Amino acid sequence: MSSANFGVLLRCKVIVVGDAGVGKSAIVQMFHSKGSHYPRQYNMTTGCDFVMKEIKVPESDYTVELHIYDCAGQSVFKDLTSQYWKNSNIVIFVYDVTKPESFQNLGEWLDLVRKKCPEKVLPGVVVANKVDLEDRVKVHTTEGAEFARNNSLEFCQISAFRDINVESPFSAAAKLYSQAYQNKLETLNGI
Amino acid sequence: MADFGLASNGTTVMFSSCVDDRYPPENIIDGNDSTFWITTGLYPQQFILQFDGDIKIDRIKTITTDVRKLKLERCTEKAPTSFEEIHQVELAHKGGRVQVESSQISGSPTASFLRVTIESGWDDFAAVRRFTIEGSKA
Repeated sequence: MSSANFGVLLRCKVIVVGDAGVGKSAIVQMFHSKGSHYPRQYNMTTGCDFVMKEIKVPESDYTVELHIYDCAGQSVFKDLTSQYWKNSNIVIFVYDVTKPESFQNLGEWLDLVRKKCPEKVLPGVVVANKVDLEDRVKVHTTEGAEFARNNSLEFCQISAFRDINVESPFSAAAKLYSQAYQNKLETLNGI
Repeated sequence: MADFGLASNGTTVMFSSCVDDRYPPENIIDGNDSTFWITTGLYPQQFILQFDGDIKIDRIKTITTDVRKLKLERCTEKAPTSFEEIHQVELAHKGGRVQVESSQISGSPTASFLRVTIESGWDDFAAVRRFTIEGSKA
């Protein structure tokens, strides 16, 4: 990447999906509030919540304005929330390391996203949340990492509650997106 | 028949909805097919061309990459305050290769400004290399 200081703002639509209760809203709110707002009381998301935040891509001149759609995880809302997935650029899949079914269901979430966004295979990030609950972990790192690798996705382990690595999935999303932009420029310059 | 998609014929880009300074929207009107303007994420994206006086538009040829739905609107005012659609087209998916499209504009409408909206794209980012606007001075 060029070291010239060109300063480009990219805009990116990110959808956050996964089973209800895995902590999607907590992750999004902690990231958006720079760790100052953890929702202590569970409020089920119905439909989609939206937040926007800029993030600088390290060692580059790119800043990515993330338009984050925090989607309801309850199956009853799947048809409703998937309407918000159109024209997404990046997808973040969240599971709870203490709930194996939330990990097993990632395959179903992946299929649903790919069915609803057929134009291209969306790049994305698999997020293992609640890693602070060490004595209750039922889905081990290797399983999550393998699922991510097999589906060409990035992998992050975080705890929204303890504010551990909460920024990492969003940094990964911004990096993936700026790389896609850079690749596009190289292709266009080669034509 | 003049090409009003060129800066050398008095056309300027008076607005674009996004910009990467390395690939400015002026690249669309520089007459060089190897330079381009690129969108920087999300749709729709727009640019507005201002002509040197009123022109009549007969045909528009576009050279683009990964543009899907394109809408063209004209303005006949002295300032770009109100626009009226004159053409809409969905371009074929070329998998990142160059799209060349030529459209006859029915009725040869008069315009002092042309607003171009990329309503959707085939990829995260779309590029415009050239807008050849065939017509005559009104």
